[in-house]
Amino acid sequence: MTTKEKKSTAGLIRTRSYVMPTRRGFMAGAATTLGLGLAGGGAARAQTTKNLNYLGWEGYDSFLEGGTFTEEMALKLGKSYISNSDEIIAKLRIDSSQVDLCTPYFIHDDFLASQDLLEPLDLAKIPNFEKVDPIIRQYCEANMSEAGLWYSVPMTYGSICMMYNAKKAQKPTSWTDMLKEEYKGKIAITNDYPGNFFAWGRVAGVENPNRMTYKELDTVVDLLITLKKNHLRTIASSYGELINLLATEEVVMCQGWEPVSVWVGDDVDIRPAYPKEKSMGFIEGYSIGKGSSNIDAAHAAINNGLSLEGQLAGAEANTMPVVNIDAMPQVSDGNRALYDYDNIENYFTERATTVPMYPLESDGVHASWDDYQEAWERVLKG
Amino acid sequence: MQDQKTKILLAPAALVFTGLFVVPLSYFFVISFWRIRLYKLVQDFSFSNYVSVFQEYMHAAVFTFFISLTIAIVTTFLAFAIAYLVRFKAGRFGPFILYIAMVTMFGGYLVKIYAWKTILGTNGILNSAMLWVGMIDEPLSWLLYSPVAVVLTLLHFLLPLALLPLVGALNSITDDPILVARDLGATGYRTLVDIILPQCQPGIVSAFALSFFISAGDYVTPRLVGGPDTFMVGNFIESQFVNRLNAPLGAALAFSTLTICLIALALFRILLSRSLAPK
Repeated sequence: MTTKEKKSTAGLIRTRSYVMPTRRGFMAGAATTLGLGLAGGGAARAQTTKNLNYLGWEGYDSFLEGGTFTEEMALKLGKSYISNSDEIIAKLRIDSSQVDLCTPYFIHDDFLASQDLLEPLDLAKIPNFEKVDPIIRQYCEANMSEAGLWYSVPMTYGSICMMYNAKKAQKPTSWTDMLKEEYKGKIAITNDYPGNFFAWGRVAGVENPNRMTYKELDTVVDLLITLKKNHLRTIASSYGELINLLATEEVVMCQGWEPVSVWVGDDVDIRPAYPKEKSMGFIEGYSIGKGSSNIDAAHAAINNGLSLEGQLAGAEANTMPVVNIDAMPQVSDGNRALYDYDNIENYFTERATTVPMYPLESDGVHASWDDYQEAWERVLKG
Repeated sequence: MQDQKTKILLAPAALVFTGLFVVPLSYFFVISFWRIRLYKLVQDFSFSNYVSVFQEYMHAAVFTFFISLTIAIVTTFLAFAIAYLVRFKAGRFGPFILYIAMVTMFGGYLVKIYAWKTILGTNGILNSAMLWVGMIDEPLSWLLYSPVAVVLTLLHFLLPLALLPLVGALNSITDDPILVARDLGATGYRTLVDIILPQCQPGIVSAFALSFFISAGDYVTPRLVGGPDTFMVGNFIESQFVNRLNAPLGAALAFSTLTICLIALALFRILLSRSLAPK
């Protein structure tokens, strides 16, 4: 209490003040209060968790959060999962600055960079990039870099291969095994048009299915319509749906992705198989949306995703392969059995093939990206 | 004075309706005449999207129309039967039956879809039961991933929704005209056709409209329980917006579907009204 009340003889209440309020004093007090407030606010902000907006596949975020990185950096990933890789293009188009981290489809990287929707990555801020297996780097460089600048850095890889129930079906050796009479109505594909056009383009004898002529594309559409009308149980809308189909034994053979064989569980014996026509290979990477206001933190998160801890966390959480050479010997036996890290070169030459982006515009002979998408709709309608 | 008060009271609803329905819908109607190029909107005016709809998606529209019509008719019929039971036959158990029907609404849409997958699957409850009692020798594969599964799943989802307007309509019918009709010797069927049905026409139309519009616009059910040949217009609208980022064509598809649905509803209303008109 700074004042004392004293009752005067006249009955008036007098107030004795120990601090005389002056304009200068008031201003000084206000300034002090403001200064303390700002300092306090700053301290509070320093302790506040920074949010990074992540846009990508569920599971791909597990590499980013490996170890104690997010706690140490006081980072929190605001996650928006996609159900289709084209969603990333749409969201980057709407406002790329709102996307701090994303996982564009391997073949879209060039296109997104050319459309100025991705930030060029500062590799000095991603020192773990040096730990990426050189073979993987070699196979993704054409898609992920442009004029010496990298717009995406790899964190995992895989292929749209075949999957089969080892107790109910013979190990397939060709995509055409899906057309066998004994598997009629027990086959599934996913709603993934690049993987389907690759597989059946190869069946049709096309060397590079991402550079098909209109005639070749028509042939592949016919093949897929035949497959759909006569052999498919359904077209799985997601990998979750595919797992459900395999687990309930609704299908015994399908187009899939290596981790599915583990995700489906132990009750059914699902294994990957690599057909002689090869599978569409992909190398997935992290990118930063153009204009992101959290560029440094996004780089740090990507660096963590490529670190030993990050890579192992992602591998164990989702049974996905790692790209960090130090992590490869340390993954679990199950992971190593699924991905032959000693023969990565062989994986990309014998089992799978990486492909370039579709032509954005037709030259009159080759189909454009939109033609491929329109062709997929023809398959669905057929 | 009263008019002004009414207008003031209606203003918030009108504002919400305009801001959240009319404006976005108008925007999509405008862009349905635009086109897309390399994932970017190009503002020009052309009917090409509507031409594409009629050239390329007519089969999907026709399939959607017939499957939605089937679902709407069966749902409305069953909902009416349940509502009739609740109002006239179940006595004090009526509210309980209604309560049970309403409780199923809280099950969630996806839960119902996955429940039907469990029931209709090759190794599902229905096939296993039929195999066990010897009705079939091998599982019926057409139960799941087929139009049958889509109809059953949507029927289950829509039934409580269709039930509400019908219960409301039947509750508004007083007992007097029914008793009078019976006193005059009308059979139960004649009472139903001449007294009850004409009075609950708005309820029937509401139940039919709800079932028909929701079915015609659905894309999740055909995707999850429909087979490779059960793609409905909703799947292609979704594909245009999400995969091809072609909002103009997606909007044209949506408006074409809406127009077809409105025409179908108008026809249903006219047919119902004529069939229930006093002879």
